[in-house]
Amino acid sequence: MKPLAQLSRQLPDPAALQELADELENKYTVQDAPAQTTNLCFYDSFDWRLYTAQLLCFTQNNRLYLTDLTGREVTPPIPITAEKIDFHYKLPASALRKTIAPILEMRTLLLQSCFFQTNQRLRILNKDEKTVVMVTLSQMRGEQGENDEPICSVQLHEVRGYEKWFQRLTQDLDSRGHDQPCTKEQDLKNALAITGRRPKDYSSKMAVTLQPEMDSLTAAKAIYTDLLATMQKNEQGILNDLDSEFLHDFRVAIRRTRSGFDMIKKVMAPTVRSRFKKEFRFLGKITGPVRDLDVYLLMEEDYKARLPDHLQKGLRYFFDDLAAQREMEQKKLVQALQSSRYKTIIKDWEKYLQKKKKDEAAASTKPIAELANSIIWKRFKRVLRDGQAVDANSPDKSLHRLRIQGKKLRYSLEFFTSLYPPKEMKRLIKQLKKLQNNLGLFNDLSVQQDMLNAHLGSLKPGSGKAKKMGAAIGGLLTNLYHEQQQVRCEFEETFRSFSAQENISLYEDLFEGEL
Amino acid sequence: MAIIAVYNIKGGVGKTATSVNLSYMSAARGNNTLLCDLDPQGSSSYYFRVKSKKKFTAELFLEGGNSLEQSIRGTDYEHLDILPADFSFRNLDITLNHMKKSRKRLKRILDPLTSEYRHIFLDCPPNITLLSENIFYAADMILIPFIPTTLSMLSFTKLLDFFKEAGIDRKKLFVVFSMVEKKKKIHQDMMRHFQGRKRILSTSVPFVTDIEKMGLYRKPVPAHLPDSKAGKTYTNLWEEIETELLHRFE
Repeated sequence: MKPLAQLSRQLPDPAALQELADELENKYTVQDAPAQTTNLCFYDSFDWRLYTAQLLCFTQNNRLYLTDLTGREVTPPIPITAEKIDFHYKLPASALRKTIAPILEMRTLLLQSCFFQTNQRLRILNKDEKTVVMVTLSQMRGEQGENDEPICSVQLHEVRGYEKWFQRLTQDLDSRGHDQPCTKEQDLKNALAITGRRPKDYSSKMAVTLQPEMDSLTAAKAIYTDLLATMQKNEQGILNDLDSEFLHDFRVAIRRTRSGFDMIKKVMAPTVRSRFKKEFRFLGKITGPVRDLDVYLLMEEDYKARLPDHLQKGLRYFFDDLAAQREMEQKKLVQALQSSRYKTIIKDWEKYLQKKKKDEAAASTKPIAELANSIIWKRFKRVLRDGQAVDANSPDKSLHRLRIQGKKLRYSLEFFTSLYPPKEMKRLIKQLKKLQNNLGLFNDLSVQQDMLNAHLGSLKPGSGKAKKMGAAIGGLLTNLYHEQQQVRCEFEETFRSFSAQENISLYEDLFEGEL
Repeated sequence: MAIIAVYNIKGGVGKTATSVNLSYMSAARGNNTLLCDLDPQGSSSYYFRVKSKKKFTAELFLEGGNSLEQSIRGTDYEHLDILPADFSFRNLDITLNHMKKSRKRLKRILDPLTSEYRHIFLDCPPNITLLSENIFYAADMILIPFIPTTLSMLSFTKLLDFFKEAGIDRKKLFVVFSMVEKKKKIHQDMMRHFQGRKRILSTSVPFVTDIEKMGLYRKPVPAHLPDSKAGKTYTNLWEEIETELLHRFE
């Protein structure tokens, strides 16, 4: 059936709302109800996955809504009784949950912003006193901003079968002239603006803009500053253990920084570089155990699907064990992040990055554009050489090493992407991503088998529980091994397309290299 | 999803009141609901202050699809739409008679609407005709408002016989006592006679002026007088239907 029309306009102030209400009352039979104030709260993941997918999720009057950016319902709202809204799988089974699940994946919903909305409903009646259009006059206020001027808007809602009335009212609004259209997205933006924020104010992607003539040290510092900001933004989420991805993004930023130390050599003073190299290795080490366990815990559904019913019980014991271990490791991680050593590292690093001294090292006077070319070209050559050396008889290790090289190339492309034409860079990254996905999957499957083997070794023989776990792990090992063989078979094809002449030429042109 | 017909061979037993108030309750609980007013007298439509389009006719209704969808009207209540009756609906039978698959026509035109509405109520005209056969075929549940008198008993027995002959599943039938007067001995006797039987709903609707006056205030009772005896009765009746019967159709 045809969806019902809706129209929304922003009005300058409460006086304009009153004026409009009076106008309508003079012209039509209007029935009004007392104004109601409700709390409207927007939810999204930390990295704005729903908003990025053009969706808005909010609660109002004990219901959870999912709308598009204009405010039209995408799925019917669902009643919510729980005090807290977090993971999609904890919501009642519904079309709403089904829609957001694949978008949010492992990310929790976070309260992004809340405000008060005072709505007054006016019903426009025909001569039978039947409602033919609904008009909502609304005023929005931030939770703390009681004295601020509210944001005012008017909404028209079509009643099915009375399209002509809706058109008449639309004309009435149009004849008022300059009112701006107002959408649910605008509501979100306004609500966030109250606290100085905006949608998508966090993304795990790097966003450094470099100038070609920038000296290399300044450029490197800009990159590191961006990465440090990412780490700091994720810190609270790790401490509160909101979901697994805070730590993930935190660790990626650490890895990128460490990779920067290796690639952009001779720019920082040697003593500084060697100190922070050591410090960031430490940060990688303290954050590793929880992440490793997270990766396995995230595999739970996947593992369940790999095993028949009679092995499920053993699998459950296994995941209970992992969850208990994780809880322990998380406590250690929180301690580490609250330790004075950690705080000193971050403070000193921040201080160093803010320092504007140029004469640190000789190479730092070189413009970044030159350095970037040689760094990327070097990384590319390395991936090409190592990849070409892999054949059907090469040990698994050679693929793991190639994965690390691929990662370095990826980081170098991302660091310097702002210095090159965006379209070409996008193409290169897309091509590289395919190779990385293959190598990443191969590596994941090895790591998982290693972990399962280690767990198998640690089982105490004799108990029925251990037997069941052993059987489940055995089943998984077989299954994962077969998949890994499959992935390895696909490597050749993937690498062939990465090392195609067309791709090589693109690297040669962009980074002024020659094979 | 369920199609619920409110039906009785006899007139004046409270079919329209039942349809209007139950469809309102269904919508008030957050279910997208459609009330189809199949009675050419158009009482349901009148209660919701809705008139059919001038061009809407029995033929267009039976055509289904777009022409039917365009005749659906929003009521004054959230989640509740109505398909108003047209006077030409008195000819639905004759029109059906000229059609192919004339017994399954109604089901065919309602089916596409089930993706839009969780519950579809049919306020049916009294009598047994080709249209009622269509209704019995299309409905998941047939609710029979029943005044507990001997005459009603007679028509109910007739209906059961008809179902048997026509080979329609009698498990679809449910009886709700309607217009019950506490003071009348015959009502009490009849109700006692039926008590505890299968397919007799335990909530019964009393004979009260608040329901009779619906024609004056033109609103569902639970919307207009939520705390009245009648208002509460319909709330309870809907709860009984929703929790005990409707889950079978999900």
